[in-house]
Amino acid sequence: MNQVKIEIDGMEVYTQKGKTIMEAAEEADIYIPHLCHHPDLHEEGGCRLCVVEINGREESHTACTTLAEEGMSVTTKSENLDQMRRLSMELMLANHVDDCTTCPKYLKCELQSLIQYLGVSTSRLRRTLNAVNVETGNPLIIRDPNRCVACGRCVRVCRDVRGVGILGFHKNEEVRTAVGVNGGLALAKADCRFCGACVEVCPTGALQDKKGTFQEGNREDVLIPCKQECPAGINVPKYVRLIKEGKYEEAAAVVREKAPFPKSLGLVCMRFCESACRRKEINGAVSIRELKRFAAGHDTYRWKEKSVFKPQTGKRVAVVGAGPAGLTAAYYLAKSGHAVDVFEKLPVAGGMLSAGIPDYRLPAQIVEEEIAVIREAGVKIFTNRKISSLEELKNLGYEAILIAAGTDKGVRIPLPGAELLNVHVNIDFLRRNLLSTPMELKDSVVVLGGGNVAFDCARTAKRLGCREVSVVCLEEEGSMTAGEEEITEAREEGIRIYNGRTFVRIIENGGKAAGVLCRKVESFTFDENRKLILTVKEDSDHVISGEMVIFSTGQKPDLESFEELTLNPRGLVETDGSGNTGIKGVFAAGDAVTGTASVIQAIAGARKAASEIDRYLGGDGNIEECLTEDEEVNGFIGKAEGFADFGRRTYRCISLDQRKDNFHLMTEGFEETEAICEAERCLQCDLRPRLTRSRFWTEYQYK
Amino acid sequence: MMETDRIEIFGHGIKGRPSAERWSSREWKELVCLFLEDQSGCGNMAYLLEHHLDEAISGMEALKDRLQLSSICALLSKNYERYAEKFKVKGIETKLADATKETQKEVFKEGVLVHHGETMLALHQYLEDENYVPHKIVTVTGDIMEPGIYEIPFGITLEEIITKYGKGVTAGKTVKFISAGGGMGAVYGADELNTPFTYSSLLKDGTMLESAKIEVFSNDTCIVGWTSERMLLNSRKTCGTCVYCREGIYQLFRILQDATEGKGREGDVSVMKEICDTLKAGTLCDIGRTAAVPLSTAMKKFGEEFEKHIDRKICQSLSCISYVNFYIDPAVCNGCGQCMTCPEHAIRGGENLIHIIDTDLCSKCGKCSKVCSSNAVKRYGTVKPALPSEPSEVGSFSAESNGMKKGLGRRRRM
Repeated sequence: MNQVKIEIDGMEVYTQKGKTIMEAAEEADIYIPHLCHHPDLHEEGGCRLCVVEINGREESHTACTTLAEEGMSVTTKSENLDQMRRLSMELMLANHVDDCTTCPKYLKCELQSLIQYLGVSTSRLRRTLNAVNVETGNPLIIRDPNRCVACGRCVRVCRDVRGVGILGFHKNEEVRTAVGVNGGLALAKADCRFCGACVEVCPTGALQDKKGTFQEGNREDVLIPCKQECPAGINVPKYVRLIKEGKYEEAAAVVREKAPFPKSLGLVCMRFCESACRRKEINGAVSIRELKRFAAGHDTYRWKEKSVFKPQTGKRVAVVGAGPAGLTAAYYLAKSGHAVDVFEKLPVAGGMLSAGIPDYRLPAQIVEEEIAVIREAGVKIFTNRKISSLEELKNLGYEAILIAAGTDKGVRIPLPGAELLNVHVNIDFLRRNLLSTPMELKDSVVVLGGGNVAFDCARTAKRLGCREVSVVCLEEEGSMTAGEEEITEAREEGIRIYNGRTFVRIIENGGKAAGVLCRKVESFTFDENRKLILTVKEDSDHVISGEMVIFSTGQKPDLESFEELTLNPRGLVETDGSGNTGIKGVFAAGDAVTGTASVIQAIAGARKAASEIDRYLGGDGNIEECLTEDEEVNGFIGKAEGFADFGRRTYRCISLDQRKDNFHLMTEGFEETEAICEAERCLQCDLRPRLTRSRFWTEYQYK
Repeated sequence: MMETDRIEIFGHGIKGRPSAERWSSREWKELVCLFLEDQSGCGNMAYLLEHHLDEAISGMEALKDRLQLSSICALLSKNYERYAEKFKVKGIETKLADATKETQKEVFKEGVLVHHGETMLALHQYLEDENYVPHKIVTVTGDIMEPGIYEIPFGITLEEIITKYGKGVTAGKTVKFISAGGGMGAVYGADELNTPFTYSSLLKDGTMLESAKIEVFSNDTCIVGWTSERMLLNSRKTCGTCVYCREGIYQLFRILQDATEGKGREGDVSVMKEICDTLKAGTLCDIGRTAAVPLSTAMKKFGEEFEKHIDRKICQSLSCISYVNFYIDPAVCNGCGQCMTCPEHAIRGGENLIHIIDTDLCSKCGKCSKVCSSNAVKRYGTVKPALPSEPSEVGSFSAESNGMKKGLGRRRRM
């Protein structure tokens, strides 16, 4: 006899023994007005909006605190109940801001919807609101006490669901009782964990996310910014939590669910996740990339037992280019049962990972290890194999072709002197050994450009023994596209950086380069065609001398062999966003589509293309895989003393002496304790969407 | 030894429930006795500690033996810390209580029997003499001759309390009402003084002995102003959980405050009644349920006075400043000039002249009435008394001569 039958407004409703009338009504999709009730919180019965009449009992009872009992007959609507509800609403509204229209919660406010439902006005009562300032001091959460109706949901969620308990009912300056932070402290000082649960359960505009904290969109997505911003959608909070729990191999598997290059990403990812991390507003983003590196370093590859391989389809796919895009697509296509051949014009596979990014940032051996896993999945990689046309591949019998050629042609700006001896482009310089390009090294080098590749060139030159290395770029410090650490470390290594310069011509000395004539830049913009518009300072010509000049001012794709492809004005392959080129059976992904971007973007694009190709070949296009258990997350995170002050840690550089003249990996990742400490800093944004969303009365069937 | 379940004492806390019932209601392990300072700050507990501590301790020990409890403990308010030593001598552990909420969590646990300290005194006295009439330590205060803390036997009437213990109403005054039970206690009108002082009769009127306090108010107390103050104090006691309690009591205060300031609105009385009734039914604890009792009982007895304030802007007891004007009684004024310090320069006069307040300038600050050593500064409500129009020699004024008085005087002069 675990089931009880009750009647609500004449409707028969069945529910489990031990459930409240409110729960029974919710299950039956019957609306009983409520405000302090929230399905995830223990009931208090303070707002009195859910009062109901029970046949045979005197007085009214709150539905949220009264257990459903067999045979009960409940009435939710009556004159008397209406009067009680209205009085409660009137009293709350008397102490609430008058104007809804200026509230950020406008039309998303439970109080407002209740005003509508109950048809309440405040005219009978005295206004009791003594307006106070909105607290905007916290970078994440705004508190507007004038909009608080003291339902206590935030107090309960913080204390009972999260185990943090920093909110409570307090006396304010007028000795009136109001909800506030215990001790009247600022959130950070009170050891708030910024999980956002209080904001989530707040029915009014009293607790709000600071504008811009989250993007607009589907609640489950936008509330987890790191995951949402990751192009490949890696479940960041999950692996960060697994690290914290000491489950490193599972953490590695989480990354692996979305990307086949966890170790490389751990070293060179552009970390969109970190730029989105909410913790950055407090004291620096969580070092997510370093945590990924740590997890990938502890990969036991046991996830392979769960990795799904679909039956062979007999279809053949050719992939042009063995960079991260090409290999990612190849990997998922092979797992989808197709026979995949990857053609690489260079002698090594890996694209920019192995033939671009220098070893001191990403050792070739690590890339090889990751490619080995891809080969193991059945992907065949042919190196030193340049494809001359689409026709060639079609003739070889491939049903689908993916162009993932990357952007590996350095751009030589047509300056006077650009063709002089000892003037090179970035990619040629970085691949000088691979391609045995004859290249005379000089004592002084000028690198033109301010991106990561420019720094790769400069720091490589330094490691090769060039004494004077200068980086000259258009951007001012702070708006350079290279990462901040890259710039700092380069400076440590003795590289000089000249910001805000434009290049006029290469100075010649006996047919060889001798320096670059530069001009100082006042300002610059790009027009709609991405054409540069410059304002230069008058009489600011000066020479930055160097016997060797390297252009690192962007790269273009090398697509000469595929003239059938439609290119956009930037010389990139036009696609529909999912990899379709418009030519039947020909797809494209990676830098050749997006322009020089990041590894993770290449992986994300390749995943889309792989799914599209699978569908083209008759598959279901589903390349998702689950390599970890669905976690049972404990939302009771508890207190952490000094949480807001937990400082960001990141990788360590090995000392200048040990790194400046060699190509050994120059960074050291986290020790175990460091990784756990860093993972502890996570605000666990993914807990918030697990809270039940409150429903408005309009969403119920019976109201 | 008498059987425990035949001991006829009751708890001396707020509700006076029979103690034997509680003792037998479940298995008790520990006893905690509360020696806490009353919220209203009256000194009843200090009185108990000072005069009857040994007896209370003996009661505790007796209860421990009878119920075979493992431990007994006294919970003391911080400012009674000095008595801890006396408990210690008798081998009783003491704890200090500060924030009431924390204390509640710590004390009200499963298996812990909690008693008011005074109940232990009653137990001791009962065990000494079965026919002993239980007493309650009560603060009797207000407009009476001898305010103080008294040990009052249950059962006597409010009237007897005033006359026997308070030695009667202050000279020249008459009782208007009595508030029994502290901040949340009910109001008893002058015609209800035969109400017996027992838990049952007070509870019937909605009063719990939140604090054992009997306050006597005379005719110059304005019931509206008084309930207004009481509601403000009670609104501060809310924990904030229930809307009706948190917002309702404060709303009552605001309406009453407006009523004393000439800002009463039509319908206020019915709104107040609605809030009072809803508070009784719609809150979760005793504070919420009883917070409006002073108002609801006062409205029943003095309904007319509330209506006069709200509808007609009249305060009979001349205590609501908005409804009165100050004047200097020309028959009393001795022309000393002390009141000439008026900050608004609203008083005219001179040496040996009767002073006059210009009501247009007067801000009703009341400073003149404080400095006047002959109590000549008085108030009037709707009817303005006959007053000289210009300062005139002290002793010269009579209503007739001035011709201001309406009615008889005027007719005679004609």
